[in-house]
Amino acid sequence: MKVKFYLICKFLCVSFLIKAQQNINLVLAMQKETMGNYIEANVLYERVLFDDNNEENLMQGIKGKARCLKKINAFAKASDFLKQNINLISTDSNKCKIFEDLIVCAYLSNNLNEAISLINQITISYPRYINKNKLTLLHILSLNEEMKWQEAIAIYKQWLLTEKKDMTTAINTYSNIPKLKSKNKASWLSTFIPGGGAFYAKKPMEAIASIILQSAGVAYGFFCFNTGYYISTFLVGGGMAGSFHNGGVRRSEELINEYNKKVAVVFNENLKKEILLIFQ
Amino acid sequence: MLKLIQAIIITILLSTSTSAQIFKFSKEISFAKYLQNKDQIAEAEWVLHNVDTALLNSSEKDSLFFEIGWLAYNNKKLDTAAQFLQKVSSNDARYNQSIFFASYSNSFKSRYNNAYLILNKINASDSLLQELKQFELAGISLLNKDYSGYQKHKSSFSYNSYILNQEEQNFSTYEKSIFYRKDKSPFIAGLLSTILPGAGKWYAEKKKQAIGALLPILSAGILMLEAYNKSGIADARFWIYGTVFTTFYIGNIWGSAMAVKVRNTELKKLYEGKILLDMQIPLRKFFN
Repeated sequence: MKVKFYLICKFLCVSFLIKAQQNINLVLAMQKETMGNYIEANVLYERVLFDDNNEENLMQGIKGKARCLKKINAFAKASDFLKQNINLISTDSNKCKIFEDLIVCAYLSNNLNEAISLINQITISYPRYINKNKLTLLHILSLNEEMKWQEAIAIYKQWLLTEKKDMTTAINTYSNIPKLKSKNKASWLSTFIPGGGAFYAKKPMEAIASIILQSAGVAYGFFCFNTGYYISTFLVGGGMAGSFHNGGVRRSEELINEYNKKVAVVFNENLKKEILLIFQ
Repeated sequence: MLKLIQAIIITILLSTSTSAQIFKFSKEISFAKYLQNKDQIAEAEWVLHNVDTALLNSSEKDSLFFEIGWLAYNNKKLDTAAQFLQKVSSNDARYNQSIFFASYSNSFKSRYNNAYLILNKINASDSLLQELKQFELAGISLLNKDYSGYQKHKSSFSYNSYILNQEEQNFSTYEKSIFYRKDKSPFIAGLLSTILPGAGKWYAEKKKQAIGALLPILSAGILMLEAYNKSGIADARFWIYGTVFTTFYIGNIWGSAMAVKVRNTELKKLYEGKILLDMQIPLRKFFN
């Protein structure tokens, strides 16, 4: 009878203790996540946050759901979710980990200003717990994509100095910072020289097309004027030349934007590869 | 004594260890609401739609249908809202709310007959609820352009209820526009544009479009005339400008007729929107 009683107690205690220590929803959520059922995994991770008080379980729940959202490329949603749940965590070390995740999500959702501001915030709030290498890397990458290369190189040099690494790499990596072209200059060039803005934006074919179209308008105007078609001179010749001229000015600004973006993307991609190699 | 203690220990352990496994409907509902409050709508929907209705009694089923319907309503999924809110049985305390909002969802989806039939199921006991029902039915009749139905329900308006007063008065102003306003004629618009390019669009109350249509037609016409005066019919310029002028001129006649149709649809949509908004405000006031 006694043996029977102890066996029953043991069985019941085991299930009770399992419940207390490891949240069954957490285990199931991880299984669903591995299987790629992210919506079910998300619900199970939320269940953990809903009915568990254990900080480690809460931490795994938060990180788990953020991971699922990141896997489906919902970085902005993951960022919102992390912000919403960070207050469930009380210890500084765990809070710092959530912040780090938040910074990654902000960076991946192209919210670069937020990523930079969070990096500054976390460096002041949790200096003891931060993963300095990871944060410095994210800081440099965010600044690069914001085209703030001078600030990025300063942080990069500082990091190389503290890590006692060769400073020449930083100088080499950032030796060819692209010179971005001015939209204002392109606009003024196009105003006074037809096609000038497009040439400045390194689009010679568009520049030639612009010159031909504007010249055609002017030529037609002259032709009409000489043959006594004064209304046609004003309406067709003037209209064509004026429209193509104004269009050319606006188009040159557009081309400069495209040019700057392209140059920055190419430069940043190369930078990213080199910097990642150094940080590995 | 020992056996009693053993029995007590086993009972306590049994209840604690199985508590995690037992499905608790109330907890599921709380969890869904928690998700909803966190704006995790997809997850909340998933939780509610995955509750096994076979495990629920009739009152729990009502709660589930209400929660699914209400969640859908708040997230503008009105087909789902109408479908689930209608399923709530009359035994549930939120029956009236469910039926009113199911009817409203159907009205929003332009299923006026359905909306009318659903709302007529309500047996309103107190005078305010009765007036609200009549007000909603009047709104559906207005949307359906049912003049006699509207007059019948309108006769129940008291114009002194704090939740309905303003909207009841609004209905009286819409009534004139819905029942007595004559749609503008596309034929007249076309005719006006034939006489003076752009006039049809002016008639359709598209004044900027009218000026925008007149200028290029006028310019092409002047150019055509200039070419004709200078060189006569043989000049290629006359034919080029003539083609441009004719294309714009005919296009504008067609465009004017279309502009009138668009304007009529816009007005219809405008009044539908106003009526639907006025139908919703008292519902929100009454049931919140």
